Amino acid sequence: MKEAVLTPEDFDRLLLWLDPNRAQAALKYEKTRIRLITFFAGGGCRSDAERLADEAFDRVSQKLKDGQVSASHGRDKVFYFLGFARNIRHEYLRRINPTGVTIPIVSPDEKDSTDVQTELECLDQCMGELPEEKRWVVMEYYLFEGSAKIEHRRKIASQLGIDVKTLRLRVHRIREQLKPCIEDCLIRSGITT
Amino acid sequence: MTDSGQEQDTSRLYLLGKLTGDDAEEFERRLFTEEELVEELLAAEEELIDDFLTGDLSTDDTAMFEKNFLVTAERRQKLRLGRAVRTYAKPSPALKKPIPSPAPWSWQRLFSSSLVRATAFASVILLAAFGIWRVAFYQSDVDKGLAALNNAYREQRPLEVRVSQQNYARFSTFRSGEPDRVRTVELDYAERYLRDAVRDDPSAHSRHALGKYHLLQSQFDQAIQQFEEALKTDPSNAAVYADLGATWLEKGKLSLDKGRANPTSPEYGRGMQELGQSVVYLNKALELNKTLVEPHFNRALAEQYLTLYNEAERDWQEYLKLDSTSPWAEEARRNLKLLEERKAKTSVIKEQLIEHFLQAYRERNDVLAWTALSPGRARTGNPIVEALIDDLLSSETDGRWAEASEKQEMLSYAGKVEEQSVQDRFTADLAEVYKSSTPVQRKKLRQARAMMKQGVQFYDRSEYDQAIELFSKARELFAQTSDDAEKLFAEAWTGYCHLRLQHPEISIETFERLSKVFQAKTYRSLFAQSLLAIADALTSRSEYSKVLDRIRQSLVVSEQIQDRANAIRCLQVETTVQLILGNYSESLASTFRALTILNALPPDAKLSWPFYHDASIDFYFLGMPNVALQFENEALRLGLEANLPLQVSRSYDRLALIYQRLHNYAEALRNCEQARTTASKIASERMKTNLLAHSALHFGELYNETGDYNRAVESYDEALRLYEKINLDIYQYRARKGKLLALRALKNDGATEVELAAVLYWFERNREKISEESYRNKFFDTGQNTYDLAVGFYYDQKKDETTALDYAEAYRARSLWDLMNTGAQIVDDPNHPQIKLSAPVSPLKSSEIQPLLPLGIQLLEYAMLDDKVIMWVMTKNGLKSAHTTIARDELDKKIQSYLRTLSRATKDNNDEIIHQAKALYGDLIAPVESYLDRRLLLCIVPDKNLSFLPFTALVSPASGRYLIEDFTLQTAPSATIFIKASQQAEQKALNKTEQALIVGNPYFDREQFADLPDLPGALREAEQIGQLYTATPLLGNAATSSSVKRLLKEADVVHLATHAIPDKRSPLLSKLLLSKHGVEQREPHHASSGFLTATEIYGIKLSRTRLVVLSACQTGIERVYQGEGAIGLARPFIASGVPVVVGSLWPVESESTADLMISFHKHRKQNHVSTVEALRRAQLEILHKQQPGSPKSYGWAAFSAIGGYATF
Repeated sequence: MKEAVLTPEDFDRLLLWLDPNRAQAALKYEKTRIRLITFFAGGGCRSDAERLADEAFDRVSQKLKDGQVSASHGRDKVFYFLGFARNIRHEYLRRINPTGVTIPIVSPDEKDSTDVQTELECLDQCMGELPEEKRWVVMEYYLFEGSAKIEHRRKIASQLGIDVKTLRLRVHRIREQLKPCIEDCLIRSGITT
Repeated sequence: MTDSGQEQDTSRLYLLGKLTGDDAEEFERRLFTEEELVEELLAAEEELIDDFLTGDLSTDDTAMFEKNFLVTAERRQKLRLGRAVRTYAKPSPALKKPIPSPAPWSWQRLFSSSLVRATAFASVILLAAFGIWRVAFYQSDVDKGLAALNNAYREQRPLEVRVSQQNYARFSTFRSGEPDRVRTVELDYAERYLRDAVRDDPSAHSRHALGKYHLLQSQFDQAIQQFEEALKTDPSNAAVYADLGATWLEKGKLSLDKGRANPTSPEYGRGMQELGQSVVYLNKALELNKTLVEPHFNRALAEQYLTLYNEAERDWQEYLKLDSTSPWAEEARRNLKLLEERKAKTSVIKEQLIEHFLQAYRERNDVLAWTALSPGRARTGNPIVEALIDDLLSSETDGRWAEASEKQEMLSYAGKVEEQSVQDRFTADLAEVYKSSTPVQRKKLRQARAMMKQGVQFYDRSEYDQAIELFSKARELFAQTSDDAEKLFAEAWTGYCHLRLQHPEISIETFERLSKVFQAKTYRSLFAQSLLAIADALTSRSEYSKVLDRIRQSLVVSEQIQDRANAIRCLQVETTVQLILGNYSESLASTFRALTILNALPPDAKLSWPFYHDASIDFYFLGMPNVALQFENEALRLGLEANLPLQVSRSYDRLALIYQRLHNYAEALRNCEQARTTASKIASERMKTNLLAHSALHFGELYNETGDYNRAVESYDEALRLYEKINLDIYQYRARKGKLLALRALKNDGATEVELAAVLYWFERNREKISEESYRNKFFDTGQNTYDLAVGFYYDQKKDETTALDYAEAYRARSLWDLMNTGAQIVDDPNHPQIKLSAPVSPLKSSEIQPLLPLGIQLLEYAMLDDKVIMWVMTKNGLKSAHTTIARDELDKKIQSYLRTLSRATKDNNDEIIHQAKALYGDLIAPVESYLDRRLLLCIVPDKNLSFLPFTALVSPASGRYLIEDFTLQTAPSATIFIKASQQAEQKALNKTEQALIVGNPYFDREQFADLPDLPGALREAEQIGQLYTATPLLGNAATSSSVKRLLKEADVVHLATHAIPDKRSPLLSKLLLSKHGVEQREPHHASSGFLTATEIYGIKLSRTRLVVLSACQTGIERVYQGEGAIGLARPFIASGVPVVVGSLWPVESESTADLMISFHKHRKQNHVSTVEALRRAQLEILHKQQPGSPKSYGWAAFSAIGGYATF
């Protein structure tokens, strides 16, 4: 992947194309950037999302520079980036897994048991930092398997007075909250993430 | 937003790589725009991983998971974490029990336990403590979110408006170049808390808070949505109205910014409307709570942007009474100061300009001299030049010869500068006259000039007859002194008087002659003014197209010579004409453009008044009477300030109209009386009569509205008498229509019948003067209800179904009929194309239609009136009618609801769809069911919103069968057009071999239309249809617009399977996407635009083509005009001579459309049935293929054949 090469002139041109009003152009730039980042994050390129977003800006900017984009592009210009984003993601995924072969999954049994133990200790430590209710929700959420899992989650949701979708999102947010803590802990324990 | 379960399923399919083609693209597009979907997707990732870990994935899904999902390191990392969480949460046997819950229990459960009963007292104490904590310390998500929002913008606020409960922070735009001082982390918190709050408890309180977040992010539409939702549950919340008003204000400012970047775009008009909307909501907020400071602050701002400077000044002062100490008050003071400076600055500009000119003359600085000379130019001449001539003459009279000589030098210098700068010789010629004139001639010139000045004074007082006398005498004196320049100037002023006296013929003759002389003499400013005067005169004759032509010419010259005053007058006429044509947004755009120019000129009440006056009526028609009131009050103030009785009378008249809309009839009648009193003081007899006539007209309308119909008739008669006296017919239609309504209310059938004929005569006269097709359609759109009155009157009162049908036929698809008969003259402006029509052609009457109907046809024509739907069934041998009593609004709602339900068709709502289809069948088919013959082809002629309805899909309540199962159906825009198209079809039926042009999935411009998917279904469709016609289809890159345009004329059958892009600005800009070429094949771009626009189709004569199939989205209809009916991409083909067009009513899905189209052409070519029958068979095949219980798809019903009867 090439480095971002957006010069001040390129950036000005890009802003002008986004909106003749500079304040609005800046807002649109930010909005587009956020959308690109979320698009890449949702598409499995989360760790490189920002860099890929910048790459999309570079490519659009180059098109503008080459005069290949109509100034009066009639539709929502944000969508213009989507086509580029798709290509970039496609290229990225091909690069990280060029052959398209299935990547073997390492089961816990094959892993270094020390690593597994450290992971569990970190998880325990980070779970301990969560408020009681959040900890309870996670523990309950991952309690059962198979059909019992679905039924149990329905009960948790009902008890909390929310629907299953909201429960799923709530668990996701708790896990997002846990993530930096676990990563820190693993690094401190000498395990790279 | 879709159903959550469905959302989860889609996310899983996407993650597993099982979502392909259109679905994957659609999902990614949503992923790009819906922030919530990203979170949903990340949560779905975790679910998928967990299902994998617990072995709950199918074998197939497991394989996909391993192959497609785990491609990135971070997902593999997520898998590790998921596994760790699972291991950590793994239950020990002891844990397998009912859920231990930290969540609150119910009271019943609490007290059912004896142990708990024993501790109840302690619990009450604890709960009391909890209550205290909640009141004192507890913060809800909304509180936390709002606190974070305040923190985020603690140092700098992003918007100029004041948002409720948002603390003060300095307002700074990006333009200042300062770094952004927004705390993004706090902003993220705010978003998270406020979104959670709405998700968990979507109350008015949480929605209001989330709306504020969106507002501060400049996400105006989302903010409006939240505020509007909040108001649904809390409709009296002043703060929500205040923030809603603030949002519209910022939205309006943004549009105005865009307008400034491109002054001819519609953004100015949109911005004005949005600012008006802002004022409406801010007024509402203050109505609910007048002590709220935010709406006071924001209203003053909105008024300032709307150029309502006096109102803004008053509101800033009001604001400062409520808040005089905060930093917000400082901003208010700054704004107030700006307004005061504006006043002070503008009042000294004239003197400054003279000073600047004198300085430039001394320094011989031509650039500075022109800067001083240029802005003051007015219809009364250039004030600097005028002052120089006056000084020159008075110096001579007093014997100050040296001074006179210097003034002469200055005059010559001014002439030279003007000629050099803008190639205008007027002042230079004047200078020569004064230089070479004798003392005797100068005496005459002095007299003539004094007369001119006096004449202008009479003109200003609307005393035009006296003014004409003086201008004529002055002209004679100028002629005697060989002062051609001022002689012509005096003639122009005589022309202006005739213009105001509503003598359009004299004015046009005068200015047509003068414009030629001015052009020959290169008096460019006077030339531009004369073009404008012609336009003004043509307005009185309602020749609006010519008006706009002249205005555009005059504007071009005015801009070239930097004559801003004339440019403003041009915009004023444009404003008025757009207003007359019902283009309120365009009218507002011209208004704002002019007011922006006016700001840079010396204050001139006469110049400003019309814009405030016209803006008021624009807002009035846009449903904002309170904003209209503010603009008209400003106009009245200007009129009174400058002592302009004509304008004052008109302002009172307008105020009366606005109060009428506000149902304040006492104020309306009072202002109407004021208008009459002011008018009666005007010296000019003709002008006085005109205004008195107008007052009488208005009194008539007020009496009509208050139910005093006898006085209404008297007033209208008085208005008609007065208008006749001055031979002014522009208001004939309006007065007669008002009288007609009064007579109907009085149930005077005899007089109603007479008046009806007169009203329609004047309506048609006004219509035929408009040559632009879109303006004709809009004019008809606003006045079409007169025809509804006629249809209703003859059907109900006179029991004459034939005449009623003739009137119903007389209002529909008239422009299309004109186009088919006289062709189109295209004005190919890339952004504003227009079609000009020749003189209108009368539609056929039922007595002419019936004998021309083919034997196998039955026409079913509808008329949607306010209180009923009338339907006529016409065959070659008979005419029968019936009606359903249903309010038009109710029927519109039923149609909308049906279409909405249809667009979300699933197996779960099919019963609802059928229920609604039966109800509509009951309203629209059942009353005439017994008149219909299933053996005959049924051609439906819909009216108004019935054009959107898929009649094929209506269901008989008795048999449960779709209408298409019983009838072969097609539609036509009118019976007249059906006949014409049938005749064309008959001529084209002679050719037995069909040459086909088939287009499929063109390689359209992916950059310009990045959000549109590829159409693999269209490719398959074109390939298979090509085989049926033994034609080579144009696919992908080969389907260039240039090839398609060329081959169109040579084809009998045209099938276009591509994207259709309706254009919101104008249906003439709507297009079918084709290939632009060059991308893959490296061919030059010049030949192909990459699309086929409606304008281009109108411009091609398709004398060979017999059938066009538009296999794309929504090609049959984009919008409906009350009179003209459906406008879509099918229409230009019909206008160009194609007798049958197959088009769609709504967006269609690519694959199923391909199946339908292949089947349709198979029936047509292999079974040799007609187009309409082939379409029916293809539709029935799809309908009958659908399994019971499976999701119903109504894609088949979207397509219909439009046009005439054809055997092919």
